[in-house]
Amino acid sequence: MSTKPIGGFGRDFPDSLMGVLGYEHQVFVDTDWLTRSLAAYEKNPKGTARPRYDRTSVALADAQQAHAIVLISANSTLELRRALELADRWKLNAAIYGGQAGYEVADELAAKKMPVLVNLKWPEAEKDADPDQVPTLRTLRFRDRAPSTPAAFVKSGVKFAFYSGDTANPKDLLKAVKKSIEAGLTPDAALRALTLTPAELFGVSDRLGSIDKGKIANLVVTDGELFNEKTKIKYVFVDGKRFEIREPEKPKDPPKGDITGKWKLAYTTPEGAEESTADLTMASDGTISGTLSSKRGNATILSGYLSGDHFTFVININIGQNFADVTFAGTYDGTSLKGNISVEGYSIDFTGSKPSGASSLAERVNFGQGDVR
Amino acid sequence: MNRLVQVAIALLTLLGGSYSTSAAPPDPSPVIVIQNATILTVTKGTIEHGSILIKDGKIAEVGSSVKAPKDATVIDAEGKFVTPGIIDCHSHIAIEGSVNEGSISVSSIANTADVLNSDDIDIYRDLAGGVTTANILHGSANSIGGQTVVIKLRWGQPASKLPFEGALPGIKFALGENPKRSNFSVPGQPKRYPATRMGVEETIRAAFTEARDYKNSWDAYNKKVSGGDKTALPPRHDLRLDPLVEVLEGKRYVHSHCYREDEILMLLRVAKEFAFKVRTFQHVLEGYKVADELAAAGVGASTFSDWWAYKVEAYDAIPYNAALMTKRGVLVSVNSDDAEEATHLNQEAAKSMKFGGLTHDEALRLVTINPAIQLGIDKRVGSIEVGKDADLVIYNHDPLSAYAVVQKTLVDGRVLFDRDKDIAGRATLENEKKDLIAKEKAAAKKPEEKSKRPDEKKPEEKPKPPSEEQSAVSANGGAQ
Repeated sequence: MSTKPIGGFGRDFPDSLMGVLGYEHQVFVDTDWLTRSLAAYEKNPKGTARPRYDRTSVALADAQQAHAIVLISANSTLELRRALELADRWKLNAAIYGGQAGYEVADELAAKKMPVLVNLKWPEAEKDADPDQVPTLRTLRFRDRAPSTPAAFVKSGVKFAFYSGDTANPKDLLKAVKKSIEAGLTPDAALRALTLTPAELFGVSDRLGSIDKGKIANLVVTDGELFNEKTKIKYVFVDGKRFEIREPEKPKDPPKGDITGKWKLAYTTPEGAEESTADLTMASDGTISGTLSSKRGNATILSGYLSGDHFTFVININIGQNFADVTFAGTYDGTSLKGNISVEGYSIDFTGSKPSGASSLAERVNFGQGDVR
Repeated sequence: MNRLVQVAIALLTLLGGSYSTSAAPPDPSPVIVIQNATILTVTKGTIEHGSILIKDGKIAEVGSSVKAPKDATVIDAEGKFVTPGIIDCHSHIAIEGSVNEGSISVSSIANTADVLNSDDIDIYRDLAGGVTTANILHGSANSIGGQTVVIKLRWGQPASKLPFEGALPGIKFALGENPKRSNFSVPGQPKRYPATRMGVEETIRAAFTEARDYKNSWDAYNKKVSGGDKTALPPRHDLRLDPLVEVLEGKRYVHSHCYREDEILMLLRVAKEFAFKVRTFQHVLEGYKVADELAAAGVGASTFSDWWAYKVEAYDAIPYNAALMTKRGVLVSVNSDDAEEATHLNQEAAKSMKFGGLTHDEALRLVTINPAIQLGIDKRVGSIEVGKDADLVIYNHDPLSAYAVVQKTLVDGRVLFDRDKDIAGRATLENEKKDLIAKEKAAAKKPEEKSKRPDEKKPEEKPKPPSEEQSAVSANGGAQ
């Protein structure tokens, strides 16, 4: 259940937060009314007007009877308190998702036994923010303290689980958890919030969430403590099937030159000519990191290197329903890139050049902080 | 000079004070004695060198000599003026999200009470201007707008603690250019009904016709139940019509935005037809033309001091409006409709002395007891009387002087704005802000140090432009 304004009811109603809440109140009133009226009608159908049938109410009534969990979106202090009030008002079997200002209201959440799914995409300074906009103290405090929320939840006794939220990259996930460990959460509690607690919240702890005889063999094997920065994940088991984590290939030769910089990549897809911008940073051993942005979105480079004059880097993007690796490989002659882009057996040529700095503003306008996937 | 003072107040309040929003119940209300003050009681004259004893958030004693208990906190107000807290009868502060649910012409399903924002810094700024109570209205985009709520400016308390206990809820109506969207239609986009003043009237009439039928269906049901019918099915609750039924039953106040005399008379006729009362006309800039009709109907008028001509329907506004209506027996208040204007409502009230010759007391009433009566809360606030809430303002000069600056504002007997403390606390807040910004910058730099580039031994320590880490990410952060 979102408390954010959305369109599409009558003439774009609701288009304000108070309209959204008004609508939600009405939905719950209707559900309650329909449940009572149908029960009364069933008892005495003869001569009684049949209650108006409403698909939304019927679906919601069914969900309530099944004690389905109602997820309420709430992140700020105001939203969290409002979610508590809504759950009270409509007697919901509710859980909150978001929860990042929980450090301010942990006791109130605990008093109401409200479980919280904590978004691991911690609030942070916007990369391309308006230089004239200085954040308020409230915003700064929120960005500083949000990762301390899980520790506050443990202290107050709030049941919580982590979720990835808008976290851009799988490898950022454990980093984000680590932030909350630095802010006082024990590694054990962190692990529980990633395994058993979410399983309990969604009613599947009889088969998932802990290593126990008879449970589904979904396992992670590491070479050290899970939250240690140097730890590598060796295997992941899903339904007992082993998946091996491959180390990205290391460059064989020392790099020829430095590929660092903003590159304009040009290529032709079946949909016509396209361009993207690669912002590359190369380490001394030739390892490449950075981001790629195009009208299709932004992506972080998962692995890459420059070995001699040969470069390779890989991103993972959403293609239709699935995610797929996209590999950029070719040669670097010191001033330009030339090579091909391959994805799922399909390959196209591309060239890369370094434009002068003038275009950076245009890039910013075109590519904001979109979905980084 | 007036402008200068306004600017000073604006600057003063810009930084804000305490940011805490603790949910813990406030400390037990302190016992306070305000001494040696010129007390403008509003309803019981002026007391020179008077004292006020505050206990349990209420005014316990007022007079020229008051026994101060030993444990009382003494505020020496020598040379200062004390007035009741200012009441703003038309405010849009402390609302999260849009002030309008503008998609529909009857948006009575929306309620400002659902979206109160206790973190809104305007609460604190208005406190710094002496406001202690405000009528939080939905916008004027709809012929019948959203439900409204009266709040106390209890800065530091959660949203659920803001509503004025026992105050009757209200509903916003709007007439004229705004609900017919004269100045807001977008070329190429379909116009929302209504587009004329005739349509506004029809919208209200249609809504109340519907509400009357709806009320009848409930009355019939209740009659069946009280007659012993155990199988009767209740009608479906319609949250859009429920507030209108409350209006018909006198359980909800109508606050109607309006400008022109013709639309004012129109709503009076419609109200008479459906047998409900309009509690206040808001803005009501042509009220002076129909003051007798307003007085006869017993309808309050809440107007601006001297805003005018910002649109066609505001051309006939005159700064004498408040005074002229007062002299014809209309209950008048002066409101802000604006968070900044609210910080100097005392001066807005004072203008009616210059324009229209109201007395000092009459002028002060425009922002104290009169709006209290209009909002039905005059038993609790609006004047300095024993038993009333200790919502008080201490000024350094007569509040109707252009030199008056608020020193302290009390709500429920607690000092929620203190000018000296605010000024003293600013450096701490500024330092905290600087530290947090520095901390963010340091954290952002870390990953860069790790990846050393081949041809650079050590990257030059170039200070980043200050902008990089500074942004206005909203308080709800990353969650969408």
